Amino acid sequence: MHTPHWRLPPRLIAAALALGLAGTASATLGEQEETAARDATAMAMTATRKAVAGRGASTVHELRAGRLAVRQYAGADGTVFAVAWDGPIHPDLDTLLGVHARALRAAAAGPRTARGPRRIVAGNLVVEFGGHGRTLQGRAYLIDAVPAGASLDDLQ
Amino acid sequence: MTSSESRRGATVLLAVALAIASAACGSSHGGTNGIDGTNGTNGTNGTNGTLPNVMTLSVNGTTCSAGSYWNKPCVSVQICRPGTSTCKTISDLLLDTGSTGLRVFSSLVSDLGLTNVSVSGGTLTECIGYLDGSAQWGPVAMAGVKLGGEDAVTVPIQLIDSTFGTAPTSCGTTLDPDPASAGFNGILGVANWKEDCGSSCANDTANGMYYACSGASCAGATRAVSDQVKNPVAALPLDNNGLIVKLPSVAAAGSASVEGTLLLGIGTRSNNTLPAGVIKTQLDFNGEFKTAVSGGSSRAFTDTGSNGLFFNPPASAGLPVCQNTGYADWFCPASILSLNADNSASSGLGSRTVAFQLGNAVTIMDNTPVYVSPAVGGPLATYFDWGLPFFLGRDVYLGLETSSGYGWVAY
Repeated sequence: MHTPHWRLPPRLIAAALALGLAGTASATLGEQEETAARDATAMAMTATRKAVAGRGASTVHELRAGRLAVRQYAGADGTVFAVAWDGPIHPDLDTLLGVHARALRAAAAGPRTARGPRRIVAGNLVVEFGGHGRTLQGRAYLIDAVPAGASLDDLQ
Repeated sequence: MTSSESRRGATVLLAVALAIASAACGSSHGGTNGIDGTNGTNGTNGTNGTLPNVMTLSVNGTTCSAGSYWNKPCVSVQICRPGTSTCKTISDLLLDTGSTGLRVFSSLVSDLGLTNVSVSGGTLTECIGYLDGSAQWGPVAMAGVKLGGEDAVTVPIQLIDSTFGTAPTSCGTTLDPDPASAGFNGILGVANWKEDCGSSCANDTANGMYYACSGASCAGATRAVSDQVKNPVAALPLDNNGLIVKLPSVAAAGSASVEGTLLLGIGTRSNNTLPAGVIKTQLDFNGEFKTAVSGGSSRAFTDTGSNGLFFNPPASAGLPVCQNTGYADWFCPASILSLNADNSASSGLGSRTVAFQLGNAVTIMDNTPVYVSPAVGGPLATYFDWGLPFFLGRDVYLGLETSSGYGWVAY
């Protein structure tokens, strides 16, 4: 089993589990987390909602299908500000990024000289791809939407 | 690999067209209609006095299409209809130690008449993703694969075809459509794993990689490990335990191209002996080891399919990211810097110190006609990706997984 790398620190996960809050929702980047189950249904993944304490993110929605795990982070205002994933493939970013997917497509299609892990910046959107065979990973976030006090390192 | 890269992008289409023409009529065994007329005469001793486990490996040289992107290592492979002498040589295959299996654009081998693999629910079809966010889609077919002077081995390969059936949205938004866009005719993946997915694809139809397609309809499918798309090296009768990447050293300022060798097997013949005393760094269950630079340690892997050294340098290293448009993936130090890293197994054993250099990527890359350099790299927060530059000037021994280990790397 692959070890997730971009994820909340164990103590935050522990806090979430301790609170015992779980549901079956998920959400799209930049939208309210109540936009919900839609993504999980669209991607044929099972979703679990957890509350987390402190450090900016107040909820994380975990979606799983096989070894692919997607984590969507929402702040106190309910806005999803980041998505991180790991697994044998990258997830369906058209669904996860919502209206921002078009910006990713446009930016990704531009010329490049590097072949390797990729960091794409398109205005307010940052998308990072990485990993290698059997073990891919990545994350996407909206620069302006990251809550005060949240550290992007926490999304690794 | 979604877009063609380079400042020479305008030439890629022509270059690929020429490569296809070359592959169609210029193989070493001749042929007039795109298919080689014979199955060659590659017995176990080869035909010209050399051992059969030798393949030509070039970086932007004889085995690559003209106009290839920076630091691109290529090989040629002969692909045959299994059990027959109907074969075709395909060049410009990216040698990739970061993935597993042979994948070639379907359009390049359509005249071979390979048979797709049938499974319950239709044709076995695969989605394979890469670290740059790109992905490939297409059916799995059985093929005879001839590596160097070895006899053909019959293995499942992927025929890349983004239009086959209907690719699921989970396979991504950037499927490689053709050689010109991808920047290569295919990929020869020779990572430590013998098969491309492993046990998760054998047990779960929601594995995300294997599908069964009937007409336009595709649904998740399981695939037994031994039947998955396989590293052809692992299927060789003798030289199946690993490979050696041998590339000459190149000055930081770079070269137009270099010619090297890919040796199949380790310790199986007189030409592939592991030198006494060389330290093996064992890989962990992710196929990784760890790399420390100035105290900071990260997960690490070797990847000839990455064209730079990508890692998270300490601030003290003086490695700013290039500010030039189109070069945000690269470092632009004021001068060529010499650095050291410590590689060890995730357990901490098998430690090796590796010296490497990094220069200003813009300066190096703009120095036409230089297309190979060991001194280009860029930022990556989560890993140390030892890309092609690591392999220049080193004999890198890559041991495949066994029943008792996940593989190893030595150099």
